Amino acid sequence: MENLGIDIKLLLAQAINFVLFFIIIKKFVSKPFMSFLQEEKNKEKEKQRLLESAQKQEEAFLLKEKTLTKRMKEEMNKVLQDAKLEASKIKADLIIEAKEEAATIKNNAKKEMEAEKESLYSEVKKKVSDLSLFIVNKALDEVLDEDLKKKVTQKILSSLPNKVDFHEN
Amino acid sequence: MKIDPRIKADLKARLKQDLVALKKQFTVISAFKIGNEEISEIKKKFPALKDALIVYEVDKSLIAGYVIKIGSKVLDVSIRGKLQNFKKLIYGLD
Repeated sequence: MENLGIDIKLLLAQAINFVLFFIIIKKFVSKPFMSFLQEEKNKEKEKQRLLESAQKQEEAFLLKEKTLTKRMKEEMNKVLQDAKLEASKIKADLIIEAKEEAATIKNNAKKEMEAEKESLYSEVKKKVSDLSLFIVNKALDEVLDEDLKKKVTQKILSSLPNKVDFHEN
Repeated sequence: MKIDPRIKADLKARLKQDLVALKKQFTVISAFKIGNEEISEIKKKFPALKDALIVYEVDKSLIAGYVIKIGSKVLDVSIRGKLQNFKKLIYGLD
């Protein structure tokens, strides 16, 4: 063995060193390190679990939000539909009312026009008759002299019936 | 002021008399001044005028003919009257 260069004592010392080193490492380094690693692993697991839980919650919220948005849209559509229906009803009513009013105005205007026409016609008739009589009066006044007037008076008297009634003034 | 009852009665009687006389008074209105000939013709046509009190008036607007009044009654046989009637007729036409 000595010829090979292997020192038994050294080897033994190294072996003992190694064992001591191993024991010390295992006791003072490896265990804490392993527990540290385990702790870290647990922490990681916890984080993962929390993350999953948060994700689940997020999904639930998203779903809820989607549902609410959908419901809101539906309700908005319904309100819009109702409003449109109401508006078209009001529009129809207004149109009917306006048509009725227009017809009334037209009728009233027609009646007014008729009345105006009648009144104008009466006025014209009156003026024409007044003018005609005025002209006749003037003409007779100028044409008839005293003699003619006497003759006309005689004629009127002779053409009267025998019984003439006086009427109340 | 108190009026004597006798005077009052006399006044009343006089007024009544005047009123009666007025009722009996004829008014003949013509377009020209009428003479006796015309008066006799009128009296011939209206015997009621024979013994009545007649007042004669002239109104040129009559043009020709007569208007005879007694009280509130009237007889209009003048040209003016006929024209007025004609006017009423025209007004009544539609």
